[in-house]
Formats: sequence, C-alpha cells, structure tokens
Amino acid sequence: MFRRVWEKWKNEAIASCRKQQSSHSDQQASNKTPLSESLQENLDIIKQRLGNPQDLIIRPFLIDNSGRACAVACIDGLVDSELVHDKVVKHIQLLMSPAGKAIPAPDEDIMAFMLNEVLSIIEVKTGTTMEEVLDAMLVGDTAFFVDGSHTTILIDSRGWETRGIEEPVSEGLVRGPRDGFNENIRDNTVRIRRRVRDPKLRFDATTVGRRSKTDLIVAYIEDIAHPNIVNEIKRRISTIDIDQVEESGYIEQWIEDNFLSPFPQVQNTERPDKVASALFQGRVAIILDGTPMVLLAPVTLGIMLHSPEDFYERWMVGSLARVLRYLASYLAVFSPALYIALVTFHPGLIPSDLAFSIAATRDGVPFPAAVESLIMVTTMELLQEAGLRLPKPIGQTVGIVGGLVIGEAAVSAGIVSPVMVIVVAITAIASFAIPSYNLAIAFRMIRFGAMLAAAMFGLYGVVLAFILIVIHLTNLTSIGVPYLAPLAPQLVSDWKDYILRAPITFFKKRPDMLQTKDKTRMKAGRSQ
Amino acid sequence: MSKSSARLLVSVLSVSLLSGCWDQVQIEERGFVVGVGIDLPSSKEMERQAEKEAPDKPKGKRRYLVTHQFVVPGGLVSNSQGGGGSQSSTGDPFQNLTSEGDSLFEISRELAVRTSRSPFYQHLKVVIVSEEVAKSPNTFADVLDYFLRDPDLRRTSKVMISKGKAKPVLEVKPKTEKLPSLYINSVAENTDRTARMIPEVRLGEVHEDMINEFSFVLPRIVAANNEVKVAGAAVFQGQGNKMIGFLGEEETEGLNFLLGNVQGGLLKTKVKDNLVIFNIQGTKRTIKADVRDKKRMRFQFFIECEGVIAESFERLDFMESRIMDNLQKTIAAEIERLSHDAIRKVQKKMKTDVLELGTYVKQTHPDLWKQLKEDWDHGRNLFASSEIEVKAVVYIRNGGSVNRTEIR
Repeated sequence: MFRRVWEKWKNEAIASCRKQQSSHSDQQASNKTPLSESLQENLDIIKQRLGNPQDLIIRPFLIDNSGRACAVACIDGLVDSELVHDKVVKHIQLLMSPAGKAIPAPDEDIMAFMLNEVLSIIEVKTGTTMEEVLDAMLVGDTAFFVDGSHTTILIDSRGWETRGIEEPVSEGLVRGPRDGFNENIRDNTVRIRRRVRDPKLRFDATTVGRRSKTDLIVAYIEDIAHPNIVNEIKRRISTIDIDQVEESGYIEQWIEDNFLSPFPQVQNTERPDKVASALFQGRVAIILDGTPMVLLAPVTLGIMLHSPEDFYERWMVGSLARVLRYLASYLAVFSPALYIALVTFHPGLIPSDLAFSIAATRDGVPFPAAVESLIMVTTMELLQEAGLRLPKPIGQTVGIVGGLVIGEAAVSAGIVSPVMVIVVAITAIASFAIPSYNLAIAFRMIRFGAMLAAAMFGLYGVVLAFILIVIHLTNLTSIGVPYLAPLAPQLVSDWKDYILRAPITFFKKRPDMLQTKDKTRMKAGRSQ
Repeated sequence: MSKSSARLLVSVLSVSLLSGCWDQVQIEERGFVVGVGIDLPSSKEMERQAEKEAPDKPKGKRRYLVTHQFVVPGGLVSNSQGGGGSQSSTGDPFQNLTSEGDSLFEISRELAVRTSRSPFYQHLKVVIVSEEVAKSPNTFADVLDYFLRDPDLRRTSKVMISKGKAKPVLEVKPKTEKLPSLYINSVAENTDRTARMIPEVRLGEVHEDMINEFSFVLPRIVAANNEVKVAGAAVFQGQGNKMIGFLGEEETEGLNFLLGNVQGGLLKTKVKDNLVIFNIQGTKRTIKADVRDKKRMRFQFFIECEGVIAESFERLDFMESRIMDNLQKTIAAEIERLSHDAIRKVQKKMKTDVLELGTYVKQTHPDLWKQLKEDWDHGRNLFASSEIEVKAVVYIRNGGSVNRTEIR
C-alpha cells in the first residue's frame, strides 16, 4: 500500500515538474541579434541591453595608422584591467602606430588580421551575435570591436578577486592534504587536474540557470566511469531549468533519484583529494562555479560513512575507525529511542543496579521518558542550530551555556534525569562522528521517528523502525546504483572497502558496484 | 487527498493512537521486587476473618504468608543527589510488605492496595522458602507454580531454603550492601571461596528437577544479627518434591566434592600434630559405574583436586617430593572422609539420590534407566542398596610464595 501511494506521489511530482519545464522552454525560444557593422550601433545596443550600468567600461580609440575607430567593452571588476590595458589597448596602439605594422586594406578581414598578428593573448574567440557578446562580457571577457566589422573578438580577461585556497572547514583531517576548493570553478578544476594527470580526464562544461548562467563542469575519467552513469547525469543536468543556481545543492536536488527520502543521494565535498579518488573509482564529479562544494555521484551509504583518512592511515586504523562510525550511526539514530523503550517498557532488560539507579534519578521527574527525551533532543537540535548561525566565538559560548548550564540546571531542577543527559550527549557525539554532514542531518531527522516508535511500541517499535529504514534504503538508488551496495546487492569483492578497509595492496579491482569500464586498479598485488 | 492515501493515514493513525503507549509504565513507577520470602502463617486469625467475610468463596488447602521486598530507589542514592529531590533519602532503600492468602498471585495483586508501585518481578533475585513450607507435603511445587507460570518472572531467580522463617532473612540490614536481597544474591555466589555452600540453584533448574522427578538440593540460608549465612543444603526427595532434611556444612562440603561443584575452599590436615591448610583451586570428578546387578549397582567416584598450600603451622620442606606426596595423600584422605560422611547421610539415612547418580544412569544407560526409574530412590530404592566408593587424588601445585616462615 505504501508503495502504491508512494508511486502516485512520485508520478504527480514528476508530471508537475515536466509541465513547468515545457512552459519554460517555450519562453526560451527567442531570436538572436546579429552584430551591426557600425561600431557606434553595437556599443549603443550593449549599453541599452545592460541598462548602461555604472560598471560598464567602453573605451573607444583609433587605430592610428588607418584612423579606423575601434573600442573595447568590458565590465569593471570582472576583468583584469591591467591585462586589458597592457595586452589589448596599449598593445594595439603600439603595434599599429604609424611606425608599426601596416594595416591591411579595408576590404580584407581586419578581425582575422588582429587575431593572427596583433593580439598576443592565448584565450580569444570571435563572436557574431549580440547575445554571445553580452554573455561573454558578463563572464568577464573583453569585447573588441572594430568599426565596419560584423564580428567581434572576445578576449578572455577574467580576473576578479577570489578567496585563496584554504583548508576545508567542514571536512577536517589529521592526516591528508590541506587544500580545499574555493568559489572559482577554474581554481577548482586546477586542483583536480593537478591530482589526475590522465589525458582521459574529461571536463564537460555547460551552463545552468536561465538567468544566472552559472558554469557547471561534469568531470569523469572517460575510460573508467561507466558511460551510462555519465550520460544519465548529463541528461539529468540538461533537464535543469531554473532561474538561478546559487549552490551545488540546487543541482543535487534536481538530479537526485528520490526527493522524498531523508537520505542524501549525492555526496558533496570540498576536498580535491576526495574528488580525485572518486574519479579513479569510476564516479562522476559535478563542479559548479561559485561554490566550493563539489558533487559526487553515484554514492552509497557505505561511501558516505567513509573518510579519506581511512586510506591515509594504515588499514587497521582505517578499519577500526569505520567500525566506530557504523556504531556511531546506529547510536545517533537509536540511542534516545532505546532509552525510551528500555525505561518505559522493558526495565527488566536493564541490569538490576542500573535499573534501580535510573529509577532513583527519575524519581520526581514530572515527564514520561518519551517527553523527557523529546525535550532534551529538541534542545540539543536548537543548540546545534543556534551555534551554527552565530559567529564563531559566540557559538562556543552557546555550546558552553547550552551544554553545561542547561544540562546541569535541568537535572538539578528535576526536569530531566542525569541518565537522559548522558544519552543525549552520546547521541550528539555519535552524530558528530559521521563524516558526511548531510547524512548526519538525515540521521537526526530519523531519530525523531525512532523515538516516536519507541514511545508507542517499545523495543518492538524500535525494531519496526529499523526494518522500515532498511526497507527504504534497499529500495533507494543513487543514479541507478543501489544505495546499500555492496551489501544489497551482495557484491562480496567490494567488501574490501566497506565496513572494514582491507590493506591497500588488496585493491586489485575497481568497485564492482560502479561497473567501471577499466576494472584493473593494479596489475599484481604486492610482490615479495 | 486520494482514497489510498486516506486509507494509509487512517491505518497509521489507528495503529498508533489506538494502541497508544499500551504497556507503558515509567521506570520510577514500577515496584521492583528483588526478593520474595514464603512462610506459613503463624496464626489462624486472618483465615477466620476471611471465612467470616465470604464463607462460600473457594478456598485453598493451605494459606501462605508472603513477604515481598520492594526497592525504594530514592533510598539508594546519596543525600546530595536526589534527582528530583522529592524523595528525602533518609529511609531504608527497601520496603518489605507481608501479606497473607491462599494464592500467591492473589497476594501479589493484593499488594496493589498497599503500595503506590505495582510489583514488577523481572529483577527478582532470590526466592526464599521457609523450611516449614518446604517440609509440608505437596506444597513446595504449589508455591513455585506462580513464579514459574508468570511470564514476567525470570527462571534465573535463585531459590533458597531458610532455616526457620523466611521473613527475617529479608529483614537483615547488611552494612556492605543497601538491599538485603542483593546482599544475599552476592553471598550465594561466593562458591569460589568456600566449599560449604552449594552453587546457586535457579528457579528454572528446580523446575527441571521437579519435572524429571529427580531429587535435588537447595542452598540453606540462615539469618542472624543483621547478616545471613549461606551454608549447608536442603535435601528434596524427587517423589513429591518434599524436603526431607538439611545437610550440615561439613556434609555439604562432601556433597560438593561428589558433585564436582568445588571451585574453591579449603581442606585442613594434620602433620605431626600441627595443621596444614590446603587451598582448593579446582576439582574434577568422574564417575564409573558397574550396573550389571540392578540390586547392587556399584558406583565409583574419582575426585581429582588441585590447589596450593595456604597456611602451614608445621615447618615442612615443601620442595621435597616425599613430603609433598605424603601431604597429598593425607589431604586426599580428608576428601574421602568428607565424601563418605555425605554419602552416609544421603544414601543410608535419607535414602535420597542427590548425588546425581540417577542422572548419570539416565545419560549413560538410558534403556536401563527406563526399567529402574520407578524404583530408584523411592519404591524399592535401588539407590540406597547400591555400593558407592570414593577415590580422591590431590595435586599440590606449590607450597605458596615461601617455603618456610622460620627455621626450627
């Protein structure tokens, strides 16, 4: 029954999406304006289209030895003005000075001449329509017009202020590279190229956002990643039709398999090393301009619980850390629920001495254990949210006030029992041990459901909730890859990199679950 | 909303709301019963009163006086940490409630009118049955029926027989533990220090023996001066499950050797008028049987015992193997003496097979057992007419940390 309702919701949602999409694409069919021969006319159109903004720079000048008018147009701040000055305006003026090169006859293609003989910048292209020119200028190109030509030269002069390369904030490591992505897509692709010097590395670029025209790059290694995965991701990205794309979260939400699931089906990271290793595994990275968060797909629950450090440290350390993380995920979801179930339904399962002391500390607590847990868990969520929003130094104060003062005071005021404080603390710590922030959020949401089930049905409810979660996870896919792989479907050879991490020399093949084209990771294992 | 999702909503809501927290009792509202003592009432006053109130009510053959020991959690925590602080923790951490009736379940339910917390038996540690109850015919099994039948009760609760009344046992106030029942529970687990108590017997094990009609022993508990003593054993005849008598501490020690139960304890022996004390660290018992003649079966107990010298008042050179050999022999003789004493009591006087020889025959000669089951330790009592021999061997592993304390 659940399935039928679910399918219905899904179909309705997809249908409504489709409807919107088709209406959008109708609007988009607009005519393109070709460039005029007149320089002045072109410049006027630019001014008019952009609304003559303050940051629009138009610099008309004459090519000396012919007296021909020309102009550069660019947007202040987006361009490296020194480059435009030195390599374009000054360069042309110097080279074309009466003592310089001879200007070709008026009937010759002056633009080809400029490209071939004058401009010494490597990234240039020509444009013929006004839309092209405007798009390029808004990206940071400089348009060079010459009076009497239908075409324009678009010089790549992008040069805006960017944040330097800093250590990733959300994914700290003890051992591992310290660089993280930043908001500039070019810097980010560089970080990946530096790690993957493979000619088969593909950066397939496109733009998303009808108005924002944000750059997006789909990165993969052509002879490793399965073409179906790559094509499916590209297809889904091509369906994106929204006004603006601020962050890769927009992309994630558009391309995910199941938008009703609490579990994230696309991974995000700001670590280039994580992206590089994902590419070598046969996964696909989606890099969006303007955000340091790079998307990785497909992803499984196992991968979400892995940290790059598992491979940087020796295998025993990595394996132990993973076991700990699986335990942490269980505790993060179920520990308040288990507390409720044991205290209200099954005190016989608690060791006698502990049962008596819990009973003693709960003596005088006015709320049932379920309400008590709800109060504490909600308080913890509040603290977490408040700590996030506040500037760092105040955030710490909130942590201390919340953790110590409220916890201690609530206990001595008899609102909650000390055992509950311990349970909440364990829950919080366990959820911080999960390496993916978005997975941790998913667990935080499920925790409330588990608590509700425990409050109503005790351990039976906890088990039901667990079964429900497992059923959902089994059905879930990420770009067609089963979310519980390699457990369901059972791919035993992938268990080397699952709950335990096998020694590095055991990884002779790439993961089976990703169906890579090139399966061989190493020709032979360790030779001794 | 579509029909199917409405249906889904209705079913989810009805499952959750209608069942709504059924069975939910907060932990602080439960009355944890940790110990139960069962006595026979000393006066007939209550019975007469009940008779007067409802003369036509069905009545049981026997009336019981049952003491429930409840935990008072507030009394368990130290003064400064009172949780909510509603409980001023000056009182005892336990409360004993005694009720009389002809049904144990009735008594348990009657407690509801006397205590705010309903009895919760899952933490029940000890069931203490008084000698008087155990000795009454057809009573012991009746008394345990409720404890075995109620699914809330655990088969792991320990069963003990009190010498005298059971109620005073639950009223001792030990200094080391806060709850008398937990104190008794811990004392009964000290079998690795002494051979004078039999290992804990759980409710489930008693049930097994009663179903199989095997005779069995239960630990004896005596209360005196705010402490208890768990030593000795109560012997139950498998037929009728009636207690026939106690074994003393020495006899219990012998019985433990014969049952292979000894994990620790000590043995005294005399060398040249001075005591040498042997610390037992483990025993192993094997039985050999000659069952050709049913009327005169022969059983041979072979007891191997190892340990160290714990104390020696005679200055011996424990490095010398001749001295050690002699010592081993005298200690072995001591084990044999203890065992023979126990055999004399249970075989000749009580004629009750608590040596688990019936179990042995059942396991090794199942066909034979079928024939003599009815005549084992009752009827023709083949057990009493069998011949039992004991052979002990002692291995002294070392003489302790020093060889001699002084040179004499």
